[in-house]
Amino acid sequence: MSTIESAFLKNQKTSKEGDIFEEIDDISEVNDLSKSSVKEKNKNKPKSKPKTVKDSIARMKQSRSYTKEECSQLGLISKDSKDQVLMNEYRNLRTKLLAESESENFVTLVTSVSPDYDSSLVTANIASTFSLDEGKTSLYINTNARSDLANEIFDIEPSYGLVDYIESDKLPIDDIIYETPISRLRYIPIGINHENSAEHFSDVRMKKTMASIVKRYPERYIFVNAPSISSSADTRILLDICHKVILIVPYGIASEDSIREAVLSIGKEKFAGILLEEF
Amino acid sequence: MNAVVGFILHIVFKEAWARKKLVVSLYILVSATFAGLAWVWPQVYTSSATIVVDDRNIIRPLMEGTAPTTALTEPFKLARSMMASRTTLKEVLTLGGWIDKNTPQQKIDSLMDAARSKTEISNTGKMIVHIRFRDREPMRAYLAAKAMSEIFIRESYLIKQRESESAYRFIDEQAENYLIKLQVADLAIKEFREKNVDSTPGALQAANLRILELTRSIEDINIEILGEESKLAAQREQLAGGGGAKNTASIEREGVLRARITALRVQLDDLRLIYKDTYPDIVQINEQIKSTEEQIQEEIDSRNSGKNLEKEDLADSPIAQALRSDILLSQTDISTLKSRKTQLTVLLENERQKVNRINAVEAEITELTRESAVNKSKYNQLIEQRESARISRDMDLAKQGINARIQEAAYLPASPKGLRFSHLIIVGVLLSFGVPLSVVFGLTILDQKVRDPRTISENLGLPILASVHRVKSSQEIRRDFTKKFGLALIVLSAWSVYGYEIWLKLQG
Repeated sequence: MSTIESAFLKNQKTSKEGDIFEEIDDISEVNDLSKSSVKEKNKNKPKSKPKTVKDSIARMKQSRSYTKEECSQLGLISKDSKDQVLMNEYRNLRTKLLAESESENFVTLVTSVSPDYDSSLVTANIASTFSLDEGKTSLYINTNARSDLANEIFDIEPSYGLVDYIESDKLPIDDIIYETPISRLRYIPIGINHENSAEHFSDVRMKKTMASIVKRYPERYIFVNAPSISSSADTRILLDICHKVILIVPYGIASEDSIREAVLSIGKEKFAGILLEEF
Repeated sequence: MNAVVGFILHIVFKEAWARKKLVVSLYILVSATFAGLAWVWPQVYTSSATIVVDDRNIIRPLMEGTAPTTALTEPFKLARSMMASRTTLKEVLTLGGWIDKNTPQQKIDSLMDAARSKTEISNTGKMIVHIRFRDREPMRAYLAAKAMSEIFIRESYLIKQRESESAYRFIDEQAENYLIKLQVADLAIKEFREKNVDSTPGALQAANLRILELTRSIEDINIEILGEESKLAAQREQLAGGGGAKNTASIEREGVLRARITALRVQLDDLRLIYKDTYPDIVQINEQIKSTEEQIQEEIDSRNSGKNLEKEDLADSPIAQALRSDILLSQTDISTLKSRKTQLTVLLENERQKVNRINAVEAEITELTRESAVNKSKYNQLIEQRESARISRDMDLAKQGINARIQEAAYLPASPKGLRFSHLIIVGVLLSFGVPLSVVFGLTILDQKVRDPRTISENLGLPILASVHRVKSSQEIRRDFTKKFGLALIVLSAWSVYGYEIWLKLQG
């Protein structure tokens, strides 16, 4: 995060809610019911009590990291990427999302207007933009049953996923959160048993799961990669558990009407904006 | 504006990149097509001739009122129809060396069609005609244009000559017709007059005079007849004893008796000289005298008493005889007069018929003369017109009627005209880019998908968070570069083909 951006965000937050950073500095003491997502302390903290969020984030396990080449190979952005224009676009996106957000962390649904378009990579890039900031972590949840691209991007062969967790009572949540080769980015795959996913997503357990995931870290930003809103019932159901929706409009694939329809089905409240792809 | 153009170019190149295969195949197709076309495209040479048709030559004002000069109305149309006609084209083809006597008809027909399409007739103003002919052989183009211009001049003169000749012939024919009509009419008058000789121009007057004369004669005869008849009636009456004729007879008898007495007395005197009164002869004579005197006395008495004693007496009287002879004479006269009257009446009738006839003849002759007069005036008019037509014809025969001349003669073209090799190469180079890009652009427009961020921000009024693109790996960058290099190579190879063609052409 650039210095200017930090200053801007800080100023925004300060003007809105007073000194939030002060509160966030010590996450263990945060117990404010008025905060929508951060209601209680995370019970399953992987580390011993950190003093600040930043500390706890800094202590996050990171077995390996993608090199710059690997990133570009996979189509991922990286901090020292040559394409600073693209980097700035993502940074701007992050700034805008953060600026509009009233809570520390929020769940963002990333969906596309076109059924033929797989939004996995863009979602990964958005998530990694957030995790570029050392003070923030991001979580990528894949709910697109038809795409395994996320597994390839994160080089993970998952044993369990979101659907497995919802179905099973015994499975601990840690088992479905995977460490990725991108710093401060965690990944929840869809799972092995992902048929009838829509039914699970509408389950109460799904909502609980999401709430618990959100609670894990206050500075964790969750990005749900969903199938195209035009074709998938899952996505419409998932709208309920998300705070923001980013609609990806790929170049030359969507018509004006389909965009209008998608935006209408998302609804004014949660619609964050359009992300143009390859324009 | 520049922003719009820039945006369109951006879209077109983006779409072209997305549809590389289509673009490349179209590029190759168009380049190859034009390279091929340029190679086989025939070199076309054009030769042209300009003809000026001037109908305002010196002859016209000079001949004003004498003879009309012919004019070529719309020489442009004439040239067009002439150059499309089979006879002209055949001549042109023969002169240009396309065909000879042995060329089959089918080939001639197809060559004619080709020649028609190669000929171009245009005009500047009304009286200047341009004839152009294009061909792959400069010499033939020249020959054809030359032949066409010459044929046009020749034919336009011929047309005018034929026109004035036929006009002259027509008028001449008409004049001859009228002459014959006139002659026939005159002959009819002549024959008619011959048939009616007495109907000479003074005959009517003479006949009228004669009728008057005859009428008068008849009237005179009538009067005479009347006179004779009244005379006859009177004589008849007299003969019948009327009118004093009886007294005359008695007087006549008295006279006769007195004359006898006188004679008796002479005899008595003579006898007395010799004899005494007692002589018997004297006594007898005295007796005779006495009885005669008595007779006279009786006559006088009867006459004075008025008694008509006896008719017979008159009938036998000399008067009656005289009267009878007079009556005879009168009767003769009357019959003579009557027969004369009859004759005169016949003559009068004849004269009257003659007058009627003369009148009918006059009417007929008037009719005939009128016809003749009309024919004559027409004939005279036609003769005048014929003379004008003759002058017009002679003028056309002397090529003085119109003035068609070749202003600019056909020339041997040095360089080919029209679509040339270089044009095709340039068009090929341009279109090889233009066609694929236009197709791509067209497809993009037809596609109606969102390609412009402004559609979202302005039309739909939606916020745009960011505009991102895929991060390219070094392999992808290399691959793209290779592709670009390949495209450049394709373009270069197309250009080198063009270049090679140009080089070959320059080498001849």
